[in-house]
Amino acid sequence: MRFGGVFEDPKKMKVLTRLVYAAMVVFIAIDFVMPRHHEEFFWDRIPGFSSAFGLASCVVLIVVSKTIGKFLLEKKEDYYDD
Amino acid sequence: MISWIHPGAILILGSILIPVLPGKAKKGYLLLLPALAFLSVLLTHEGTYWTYHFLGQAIVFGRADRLAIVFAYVFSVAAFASMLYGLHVKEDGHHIAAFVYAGSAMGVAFAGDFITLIIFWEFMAFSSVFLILYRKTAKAYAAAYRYILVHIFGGICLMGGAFLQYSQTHSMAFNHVEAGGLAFALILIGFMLNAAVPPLGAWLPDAYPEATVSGVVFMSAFTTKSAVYVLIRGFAGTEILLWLGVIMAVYGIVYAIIENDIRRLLSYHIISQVGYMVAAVGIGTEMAINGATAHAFNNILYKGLLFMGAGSILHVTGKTRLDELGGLYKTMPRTFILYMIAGFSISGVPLFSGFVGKSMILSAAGEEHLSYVWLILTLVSTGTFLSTTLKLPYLAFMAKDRGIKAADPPGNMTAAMGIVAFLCIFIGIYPKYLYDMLPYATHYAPYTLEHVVWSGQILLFTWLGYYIYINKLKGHPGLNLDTDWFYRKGAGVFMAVDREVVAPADSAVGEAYRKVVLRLGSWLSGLSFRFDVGIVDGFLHGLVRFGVWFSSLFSRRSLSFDKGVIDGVVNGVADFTVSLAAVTRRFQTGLVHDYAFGILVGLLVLINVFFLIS
Amino acid sequence: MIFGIKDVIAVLPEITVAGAASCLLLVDFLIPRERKSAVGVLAIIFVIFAAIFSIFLMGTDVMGTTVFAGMFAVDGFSTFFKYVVYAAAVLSIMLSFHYVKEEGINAGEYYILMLFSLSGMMVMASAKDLLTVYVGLELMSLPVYVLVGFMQGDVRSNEGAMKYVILGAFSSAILLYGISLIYGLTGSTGLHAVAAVLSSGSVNQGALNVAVIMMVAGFAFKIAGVPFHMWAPDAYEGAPTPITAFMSVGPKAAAFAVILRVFMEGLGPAYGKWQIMLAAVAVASLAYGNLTAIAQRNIKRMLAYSSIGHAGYALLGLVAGTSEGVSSVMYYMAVYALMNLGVFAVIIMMRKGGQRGTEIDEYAGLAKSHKGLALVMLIFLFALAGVPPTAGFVAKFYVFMALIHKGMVGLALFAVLMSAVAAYFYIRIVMLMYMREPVKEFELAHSRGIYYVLAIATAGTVILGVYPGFLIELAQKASLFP
Repeated sequence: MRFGGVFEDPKKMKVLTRLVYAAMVVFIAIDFVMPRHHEEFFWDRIPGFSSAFGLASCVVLIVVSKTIGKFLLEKKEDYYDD
Repeated sequence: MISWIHPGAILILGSILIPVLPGKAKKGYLLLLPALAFLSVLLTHEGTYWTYHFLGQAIVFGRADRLAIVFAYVFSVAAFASMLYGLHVKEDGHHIAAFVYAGSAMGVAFAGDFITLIIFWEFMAFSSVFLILYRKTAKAYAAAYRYILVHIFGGICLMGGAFLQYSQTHSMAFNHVEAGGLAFALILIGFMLNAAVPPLGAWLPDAYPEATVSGVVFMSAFTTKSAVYVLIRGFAGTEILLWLGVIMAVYGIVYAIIENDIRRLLSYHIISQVGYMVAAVGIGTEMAINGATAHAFNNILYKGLLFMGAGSILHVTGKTRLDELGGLYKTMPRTFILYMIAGFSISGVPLFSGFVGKSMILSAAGEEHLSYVWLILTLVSTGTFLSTTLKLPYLAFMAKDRGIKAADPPGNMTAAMGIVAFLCIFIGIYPKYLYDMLPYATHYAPYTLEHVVWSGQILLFTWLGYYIYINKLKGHPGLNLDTDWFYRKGAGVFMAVDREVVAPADSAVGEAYRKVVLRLGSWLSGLSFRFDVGIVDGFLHGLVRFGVWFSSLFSRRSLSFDKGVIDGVVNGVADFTVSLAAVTRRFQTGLVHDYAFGILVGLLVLINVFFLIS
Repeated sequence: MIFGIKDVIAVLPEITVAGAASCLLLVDFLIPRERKSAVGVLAIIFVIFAAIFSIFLMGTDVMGTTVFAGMFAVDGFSTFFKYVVYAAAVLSIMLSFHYVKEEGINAGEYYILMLFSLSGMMVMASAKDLLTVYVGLELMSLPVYVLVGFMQGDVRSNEGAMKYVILGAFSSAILLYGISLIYGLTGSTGLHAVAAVLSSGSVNQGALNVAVIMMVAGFAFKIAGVPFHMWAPDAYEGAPTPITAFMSVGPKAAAFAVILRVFMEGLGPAYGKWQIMLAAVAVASLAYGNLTAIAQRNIKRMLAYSSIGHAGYALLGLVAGTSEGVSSVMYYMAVYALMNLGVFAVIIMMRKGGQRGTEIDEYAGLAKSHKGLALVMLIFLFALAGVPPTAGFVAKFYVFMALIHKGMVGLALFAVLMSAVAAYFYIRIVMLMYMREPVKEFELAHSRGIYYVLAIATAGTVILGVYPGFLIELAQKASLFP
């Protein structure tokens, strides 16, 4: 089994990225028209809420984690070795 | 006719024969044992088996209900796959430890009383520590020592709690914990420690990355998941678990995002995933318990697969640090694909197993209208996708090709990964297989349009977020502080206190008295007077010693003075053995005097104790 | 007082051991210096004879009665403890053969003194009268004092013996004071008579308090309970290692036999008084013994402190003051004898040539070259730490259950906590053996005696852990109140 460097071919990667973008559009579009059966929270009615929440939480997690890590948690590798 | 054979007994007792079998037969035997255990679980009917009486207590080895059986089922599957993965390991001891460990986990699952539970609980700790020791590196040894001490502490808490609960309820049976107060707290602490609930969970990311390649695959399956099992059994619906679980899920994911070592990243990620289950236990409804069980079931599979993938990288390249890895997808394509299947499963991509398990927990939170819980757990699931399925594989398998010489691992390892990957997809496509085993009957339908569309959006936009910050999340060497700081740095302080204060106190008190007796004994008669002075002087001397010790914290020089001179005089008999003068001195003025004095003081203390209490 | 034939039959085991010791003193003259081990072998044979007599007694009508005008009991309780001390003596003698040659103390008296001490322990186990208790106690202690100082050229050995003698005499005096007070208060030294007077309630309570305190102090010394423990670390460290092994199990078991009988039978009506004090001693022993053991670098010293801690556990069974408590102490003593002798067997094996085997660091890397030895050491240390499925776990568990049934949950919790501390220093040695690289090559003493002891102790520790039922049943049947 060989991949032959798919992930280093800019052309193929571009196609792949476009496909993902297209999928995003399709999913949000469906969200606008699809009927709701379960409405447990108010945001279940907002179309595209999941997209916004996914992006926001990803960004928040990265920023918060890196900040905590930088100022509080990260130490040199030999921290415990003395 | 034997009605039931304990699957754990098959593994534990069967492992005794491993060292005597020759090459090929041994490999067959190693796979036969977990297969037999699996068969025994399959044939288990609900009921109670293997009950004995000991010290007036009923010892129940085989309480088989739906909950116990489903856990034993997945434990035996994990034992088989993990053993296949580690089949090439040469040391018999490693295999024995692994089987005793897996068998004990099943022992925990079938335990009907606290005595059985505690025994298997300790077995798990003491057998799994060998899976770390067999790594045979200095770091692994140190981590193993910390690991076992932490687990002894947990075991002691559990034991103390069990005794307390027995004193309240007069029953050692292990069911929902009704006892209140300290008994409740101690048992809960014992369980939470194994479930790696912060701040009791730092042992996990401390020890797992130091374990052997196949050892950690075993460990990821049994310790935390058996803890989830006992939490379900004993503490379903305990509200504090809901919040601890939520905190745990976030805590684990924060570390996973910044971690550089792939196996430590996955270890933190275990904490995050177990957090889901703990939160579900806290919710406690039938749906939530089903969700916790299903999630534990799936998690054992895909988390094992993730560790198998990471272990393959370590096995082949000898590296585990993201800043040293990259571009492996070309040389290790099978590992890459199998790892990605686990990644998609754990992230809850539709058609993979995580989707059908994790969503039950979210739905349970939804049914109870726990909006914050729902939001945080969803946030964490984006973190899961981000750390294990985007960051780790990107940096290890893609990213910059560092030209590492590599190839797919030996056949047995790939085969084990293949089996587990198959199960991940199978459960994703045919969830009824899993749902039928759950403790409560369910008609849960994971594949609704809304569910799929919403999950899809979250996953796609998480990818977008990662794509934006891709350069922020590169690996770089370092270490992240965790609560193990308290015993890794703090233990030194304790030992110093013990060595410098408690131990010399033995001799120091005597020494203090000796001086008093020497100096004043000739002209002070009367025991009571002597006692007075002894106390005063002893106290002053103690203060001085404390001062010396305290200052030694700041100065190495005075520390060596303290050790070399003071301790030398106090208990350095060995230093004086040659000198006869020293010997006679010890005989004539020796501490005997003071020991006798101590006995008298002890008498007085006893009298005081007696009159104070009565 | 006229002794009947029944009296003589009842003390046949004691007569055998004491008589054998006396005869061997003469036989010793005939045996050349380099073959003194023969005395030890003869000693073992006589102990086995005594053990056979003990079995024989169980079938006769002497069983369950008292002889010598009620001063000496022949019952299941005494037989149980006699077997523990027989085992302690035989195994310790087996451990000695190699060691005495290595240390150059190969003398016949060595074994003979052990026999004398053993006869004292046997008297203690059967003592039904405070005077018999005292006689047995001294008969046991005096030979041990000598044995501790047996290495005449070794300063630590002499020092340990010296301290032990003086403090032992001191504590005996305290004990005697307590006994005489009891006699003064009740007009008797017989345990049943004492109990009868005490339960009538016509005793001066103040004086009784003092008497009980004196008794507790005197006995606590013998089992090295805090704060009467100070002799133990020095004596344990200084004594020849097989003697350390012997005195950490034999005299301790005998002292517990006496304590159980005196407090439960004689002072039973004063339970409220001694219970508090014994609990104080037990708690102090647990805390002090286990915490101090952590800081030790010498393994014999560490085991001394650990034995202080174990005395604390066993005392807790007595504190419970129930039949279950008594049988838990009995089980504990039997198990403790096995696992402790096992550890000492390994330590003695490490004593060879220039290698002393007494520093904990010397055990680093033992598992690399000697897998089997390290494994049995691991079993013993786990047993001492109370890890299942070893007998040590069952023993502790049994004591805890006795406490809880009595409603003393706080004490049980404290003991559980302390066993976590204890685990720390036992497992530290295991880790040293398995984790570190050896500094130099190990020299091991190969002696058949040591192998036998290792085999017996290992088998006992494991079997009694996996299948504790039969010994527990024995202990329950032999308990003072079956």
